[in-house]
Amino acid sequence: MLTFATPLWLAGLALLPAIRWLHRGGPHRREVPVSRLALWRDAEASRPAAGERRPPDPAWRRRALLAAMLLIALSGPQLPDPRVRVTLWVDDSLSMLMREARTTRLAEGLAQARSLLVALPAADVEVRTLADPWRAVGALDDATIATVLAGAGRHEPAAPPGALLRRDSQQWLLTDGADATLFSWPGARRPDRVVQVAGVTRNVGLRRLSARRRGDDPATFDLLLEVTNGGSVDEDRAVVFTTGAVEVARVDVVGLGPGASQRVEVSIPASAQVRAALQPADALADDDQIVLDLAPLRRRRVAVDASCPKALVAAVGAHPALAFAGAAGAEAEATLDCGASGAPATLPTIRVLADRAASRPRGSLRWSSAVPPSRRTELDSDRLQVVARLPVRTVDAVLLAIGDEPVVVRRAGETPRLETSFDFAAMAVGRGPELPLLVNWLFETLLDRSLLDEIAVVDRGPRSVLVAPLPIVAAPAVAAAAVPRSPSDEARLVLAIALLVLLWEAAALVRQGLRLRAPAAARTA
Amino acid sequence: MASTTLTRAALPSEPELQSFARAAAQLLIDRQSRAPGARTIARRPGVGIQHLDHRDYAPGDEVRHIDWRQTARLRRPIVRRFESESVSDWILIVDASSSMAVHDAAKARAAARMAAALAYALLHLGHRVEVLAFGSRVLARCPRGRGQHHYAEIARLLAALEPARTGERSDLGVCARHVHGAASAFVVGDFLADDEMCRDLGALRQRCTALHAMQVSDGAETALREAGEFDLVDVETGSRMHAVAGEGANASASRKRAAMTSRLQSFCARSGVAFSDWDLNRPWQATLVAHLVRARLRC
Repeated sequence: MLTFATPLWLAGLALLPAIRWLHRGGPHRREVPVSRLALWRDAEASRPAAGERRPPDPAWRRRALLAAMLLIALSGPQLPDPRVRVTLWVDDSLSMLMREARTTRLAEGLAQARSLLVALPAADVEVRTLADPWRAVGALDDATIATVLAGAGRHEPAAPPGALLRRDSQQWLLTDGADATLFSWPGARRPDRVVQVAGVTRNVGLRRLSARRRGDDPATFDLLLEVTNGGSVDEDRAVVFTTGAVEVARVDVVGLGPGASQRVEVSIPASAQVRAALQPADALADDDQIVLDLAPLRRRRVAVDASCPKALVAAVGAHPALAFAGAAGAEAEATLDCGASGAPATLPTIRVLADRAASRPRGSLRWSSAVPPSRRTELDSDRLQVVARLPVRTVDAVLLAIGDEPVVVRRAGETPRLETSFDFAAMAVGRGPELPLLVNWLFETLLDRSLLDEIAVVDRGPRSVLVAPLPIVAAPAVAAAAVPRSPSDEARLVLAIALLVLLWEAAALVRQGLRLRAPAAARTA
Repeated sequence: MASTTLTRAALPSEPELQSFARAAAQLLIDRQSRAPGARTIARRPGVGIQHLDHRDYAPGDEVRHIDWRQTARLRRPIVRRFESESVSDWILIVDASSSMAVHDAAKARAAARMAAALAYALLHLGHRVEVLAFGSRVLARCPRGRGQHHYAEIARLLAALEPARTGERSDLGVCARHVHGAASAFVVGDFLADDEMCRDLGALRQRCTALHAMQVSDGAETALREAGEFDLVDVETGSRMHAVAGEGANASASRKRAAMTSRLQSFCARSGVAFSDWDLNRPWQATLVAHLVRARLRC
């Protein structure tokens, strides 16, 4: 049945009689005044009854047809389309990798969807994943299935965006039903069909693992692990922590109820990587282990110039995130240069200048706007002295000044380089907190990262380990043939007809013009 | 569209007027004794130029009016009597309806020209002349008067006569109340009306001693120069008609016009109205002289 996208335009058809009314006078014939009309009675073309109008100009039909065609085109006619468009939304969350009787939930669900689509041979299927909804993976073929299986479990899925829920296509959802948020579709829409695959309901998973350096012992990392029971029965597990091939800790988790979580805290020696694994493993092996890269927590090695003030060197050595590089400085990630450093210029460098007697600049501390307030340090300007004057070029940035005296300058260049004129030896004499605070701020600014409380974390999300299916409500069954087609095709057809009528009208006008021109030429002659 | 305003230049020139006056003088000296048929015309003796009869001399009569020939024959003084000059009043009635304005008002100009010439000739002979222009009402009037100075007023009226292009109907009957006394009336117009103005002519005939009808005919009014479909508009009534113009239509219109002329002519013959049909292609002088000759012969 023909439908219209914007049927309000059809109301304009009621104005078609107005077109006939506008043509009621017929063509504009010439008026010839005569002295006595009775002399011309025999030449009368027609004898309309008294009060009866002459028939309207026949052109009104053509013009009314043109207007009608345009109105119909504007109303967006839609013919039922024998083709069926199906968008298959695939829940590619981690739980879909749960191994069922034969294969994973995801592979089994894709197979079920494929078998269901066999009943719709003319269906135009488009597969999209809920983790990456804006990318159409393709039709439901082997390549698409392989792509979906390869990318599953990497990102947290969400409900499909409303812009992609086209009304002219059926929306199918393939899921295990474990995540309720995937059914909160925008506009209160519901999937037209749900392919649910969920058999196994037992699962314990590692949801989150984080690590931080212990403050009082830089050689030790504290780990925090969250174990969640995503199944439907109580579970007992053991968590084993390993660094490399060495087991460094083992913790038993006993009596973990459905939906409950338990945090496990352990301390391990500093290492580059730690792996936590549940024993015994279950059907969803992907959430039974978690690997955390601890490289961000390592101590940065600094090549320190021997001519630097001892207090400054001691402050670097006492920093929990910094360590002295070897004598050759080959492993150094930064350089502290006090005038006699032999480190390569390619490393981030802090230069401490001292070329004059110590003096106390007048004024208060002035931080550059380039330094975020969270990184600024509480310093007492009365206890700070400078032993050099820092030249500042226009391309350089003054990060800190006391009054009008720049005391920390970032030099322009590819390699980060800071120069300071602080008298660090005098700071040590004052025994204030300025020295360690300044050292920390200088190296954080140089390396552009927080050094004192870095955390390494892997978080799979709160819903990643849920596998127990929830009740799902799908939309009422939609008749495949009832899906309307886009109105553009029909509108183009109507517009083409309107164009033909327009050409017809133009030809009629030209013919009329030629007809009128002949008598005019005769009169002129 | 050309203006229908008539100008003095449209009227005959002074030499033309004088020439015509001389030619028509004998024809315009009124000797009307009686109207055709049984109806007698009251002829009153009085001051005038037209000889009426004789009578015996009475004290107080002007000596210059003594007819010496009759006196010698009858052996007693006999004086001539003259017709009262009221019988020499002329009323020129000019059609100024919208039908006279078609085709650049050629008929209106011609009618004005003929009326001016006739007025000049009549005034030249000492007659009193009154001019009426009519449409659906009396549009303009120049009261009776005599003398050359009166011609100036008549000429001014005729020159200023401007028939309305549309909407002015022809109603000759409106002039009837202005026709009284022993006056002769001369109507010049196209007589395009339902009954060719026969009824109004009859009414006028009852109120005047002599009635002349000069029908102005223009061949252009029955010949549309273009073929095709037109909306014909009656300039007087405004009624419209969708017509297909062509040779056939022109021929039909000419036949109808001829039939109208024939009916009018018959009526005039029966009613004692001197009638002439003036085709504008003919010169007005010849037409008017011929008309006056026919009228005198009829009398």
